[in-house]
Amino acid sequence: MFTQFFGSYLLNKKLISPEQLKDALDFQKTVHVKLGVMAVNSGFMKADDINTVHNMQTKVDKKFGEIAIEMGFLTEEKLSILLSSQKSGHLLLGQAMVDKGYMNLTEFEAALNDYKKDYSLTDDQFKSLQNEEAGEFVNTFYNFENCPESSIYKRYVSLLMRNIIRFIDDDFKALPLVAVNELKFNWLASQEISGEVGIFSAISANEKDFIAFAGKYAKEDYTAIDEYSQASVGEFLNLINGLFLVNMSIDDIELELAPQLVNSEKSLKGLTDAFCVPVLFTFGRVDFIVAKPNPSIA
Amino acid sequence: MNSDSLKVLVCDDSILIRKKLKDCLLELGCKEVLEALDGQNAVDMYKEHKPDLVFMDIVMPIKSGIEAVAEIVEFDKKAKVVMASSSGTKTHLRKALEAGAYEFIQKPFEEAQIKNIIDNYKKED
Repeated sequence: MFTQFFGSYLLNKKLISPEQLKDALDFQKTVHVKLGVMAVNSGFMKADDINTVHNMQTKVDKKFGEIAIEMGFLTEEKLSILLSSQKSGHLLLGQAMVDKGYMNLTEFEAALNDYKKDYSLTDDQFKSLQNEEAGEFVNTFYNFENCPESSIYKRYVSLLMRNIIRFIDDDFKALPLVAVNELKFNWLASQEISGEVGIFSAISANEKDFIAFAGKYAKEDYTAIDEYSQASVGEFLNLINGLFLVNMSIDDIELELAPQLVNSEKSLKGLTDAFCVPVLFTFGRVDFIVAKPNPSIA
Repeated sequence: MNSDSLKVLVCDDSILIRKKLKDCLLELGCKEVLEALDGQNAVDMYKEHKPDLVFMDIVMPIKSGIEAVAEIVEFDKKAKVVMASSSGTKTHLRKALEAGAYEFIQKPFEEAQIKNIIDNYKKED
């Protein structure tokens, strides 16, 4: 889950451009994570230490690990941990950016450290975050500022993120939240949750990305907006909302769902406590919207 | 009873779910799969076609699946209606069972779950 948020963090901090991120995302599928990137990520070595080992490698015919141990940067035990560690997604992304020349190791190290600092994470928290469920990330990444519905929205969005990974694609970047009070859309599937906790939820995209998203969920190759592609996006939203209702029901909060609607070329108006959660997939961008119930669609 | 003699009614406002369920049921050997678009449509079609088994969504326009199952069971006490919904809350579950639902499955469902329901129905019948 960390990958999805680290990429957008880099983008948000303008450490890489959207084009570079997209290029690195494509490239990371073929990339081989090297020990240097893993050592920086684990905090076992500094970027300068890595460069020192790389310089030494030009002079002696030895492997990175051997030299790092000889120079006292790593122990046998730490090398063994690195070699057996999981090559999680953000490492692939980091390596892809280094290989592409979009960042060097020093910049990658600084970005990781800044990320920890910005979210007030200790090294141990950072390590555990890399293996954590979506909920932890939503809590650290999304700040529904001054919104009375913040805790409910966080709960909803973490469920959304888990199910995007499960049913759509795990190769995506969650972009920072945008507060909205009006939204002009190309295509929009929406559904209302009512009861003690009311939420207006929607999925919005341009025609091309709406079709691609629909195809991903239905596991079909859609080429146009038709009844099936509209139903697919609506059904994904219905699935998220249904699961949200089930989770709330476990906490003895019983809610109701209205049938989902699909509209095109209109605007959402009168939005209250409304946020857009933009997600950048490899096929395009899809916006997920949460707000208080009953905005107008006109 | 063999599944190749089964007549099944699928009721869901989503054309995608109806298609997926219909394809799955036909693949499992059901003889005929009818489609209803909402709860009222399902009640009308049940009365006309008397299917062996019904798969019913809950949240639908015009008439909800819970209201529809109550009307179907009132018409035919032996009706076998499987609620198939993404919102399997305690309230929905309780209301569906009170209305006379035969079984409840949470969306998204796998083919194995549908096969299991068909197998169980055949054993009981």
